[in-house]
Amino acid sequence: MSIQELNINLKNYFIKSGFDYVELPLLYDTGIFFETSGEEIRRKMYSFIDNTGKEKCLRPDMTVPTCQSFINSSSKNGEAKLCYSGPVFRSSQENSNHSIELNQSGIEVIFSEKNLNNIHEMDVYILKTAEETITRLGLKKFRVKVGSLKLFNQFINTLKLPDRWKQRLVRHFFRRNYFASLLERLSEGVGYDNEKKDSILKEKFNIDTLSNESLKELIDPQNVRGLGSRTASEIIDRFQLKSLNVISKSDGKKFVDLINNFLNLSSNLSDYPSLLRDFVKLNKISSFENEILQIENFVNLISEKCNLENFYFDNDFGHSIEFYDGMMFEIYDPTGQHNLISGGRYDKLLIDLGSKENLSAVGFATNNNNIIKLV
Amino acid sequence: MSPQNKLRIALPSKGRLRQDMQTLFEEKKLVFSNLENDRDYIAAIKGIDNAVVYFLSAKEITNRLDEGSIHVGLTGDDLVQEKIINYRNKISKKLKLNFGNAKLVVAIPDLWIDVMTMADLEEICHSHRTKFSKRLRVATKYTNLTNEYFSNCGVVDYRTVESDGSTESAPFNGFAEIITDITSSGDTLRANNLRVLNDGLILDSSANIFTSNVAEWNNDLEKTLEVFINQIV
Repeated sequence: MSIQELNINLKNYFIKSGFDYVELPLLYDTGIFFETSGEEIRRKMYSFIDNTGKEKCLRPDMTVPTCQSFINSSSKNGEAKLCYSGPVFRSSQENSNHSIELNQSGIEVIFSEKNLNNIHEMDVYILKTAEETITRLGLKKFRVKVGSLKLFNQFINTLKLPDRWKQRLVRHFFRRNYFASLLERLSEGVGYDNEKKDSILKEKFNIDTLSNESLKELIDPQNVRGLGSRTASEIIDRFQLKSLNVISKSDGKKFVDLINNFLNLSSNLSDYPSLLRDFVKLNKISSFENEILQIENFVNLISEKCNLENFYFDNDFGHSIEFYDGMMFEIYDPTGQHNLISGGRYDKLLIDLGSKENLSAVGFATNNNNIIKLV
Repeated sequence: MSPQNKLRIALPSKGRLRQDMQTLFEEKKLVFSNLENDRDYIAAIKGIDNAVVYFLSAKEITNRLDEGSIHVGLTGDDLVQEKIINYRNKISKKLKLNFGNAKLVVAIPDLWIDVMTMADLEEICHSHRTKFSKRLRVATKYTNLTNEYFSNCGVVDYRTVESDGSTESAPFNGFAEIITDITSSGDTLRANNLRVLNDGLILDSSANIFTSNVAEWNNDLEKTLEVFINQIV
């Protein structure tokens, strides 16, 4: 089978399974990927300035264009099952032999969570369809790695960390290196303690302690020149917040150890709920029962619909793509060398792209360049 | 031998870099010949017959190294890393020189007393974008180096504004909130009520002798290069 035949084969399979095919342009304004996809995609994008001065690019991905085309289409009734197939373009500076034209076939389900019987229904439906897509091509052996940014988010919310730090850790989970450097900083202790706060005030204004009002009086006259577009109260509020959000070095280290231990949890999916339960008990994490029940529910649903043996759960698994925000998964060949399918849940993307409705979405894309090597 | 077959060396034609280069060359007894006056743009070096010297601006030297129309060039890390995409593959650093020192730094209005680090900057950029649907602006001559550094520091919710001169005034003129710029003592930044972030050093740059990997090389040229470098070391 040629790669073009594989593209068509998968496209026809998705259409037959009830998905509407979306014909997507190759060329896009750089903006939509810039706003939604994170630096990893941006760095690899083929972009150029056209003769009207607009920055254009070859599509580096098809999920964002599919969602955008859904939002722009006039015939939408709130929900959709869409599919696409064809090349995307990504450069690789590290490996110039790497193919710049990657062929993908994918599906995206756009739905409203309130219409579901089980909140995991669509996630499992996508996993089942991914599994069927692979087995139909004759690939009987594979591994499905699953993770969840939502679970990480829920775990972080149980910690007695300042909200700023919780948001920061979740926001940067997918930026591997930066996330590691955030943990390193946290382990050193963070925030302005009184000594630090006083020394800053002393250095800047030559005063010892200060109320918000008098600080504002000192900053305000200089407001026009020298505050950028921030206001004095914005700066003072955040300054005060930082001095309320002090984490000592020893506490910081405890948080980091706990987070690392959580991220190290990984097991076959069938064992994962009890592993998580033990972790929660051991570390005396309170009010996490609902989340564990949710995970059990997820595992039960998978065991009903899919071959549970193929699945394993890894807390440290995160995509380098910014828009995923819930369940994420990747399917590999048994050697673990070839990625065959990647996908996940992305509830915020449609809103970010301008959707008026609060819709959820989940989908996947096949990696046809790898699949063709194995079929 | 025509200049086409010689080792083509480009040296700075003006400014501080040219003065420092001349002091170094005099110290090392490297003498230009065929040089009628300071305004000449081409010369030879006494004792190194198989080489021709062109005097160009540092920016021009960087461009010529990039396309491989010269073999050797004296220019700064800042220009090389900013202007040459994939510079690690395209050129090699032969010799670090102890002049042309400059630091590329991130500076913010001094009155932002809540912002000390790039992590603080990340947070205010993010909240500014979320609250006002606008990105904070960074004025710079060094768009590529800035983007790379910001992205390594997790800062993504900003946009760069290209600035070709007196970048340090941009925050006052309302063209930008943040700047990245070259500084040696930090005096200009302080005079403009700007402050360098604690971890705001993007690049510690100096002048260097670079060679172009895309230029055409042969044994003779490599030998000539060795003679030239040995005389400067």
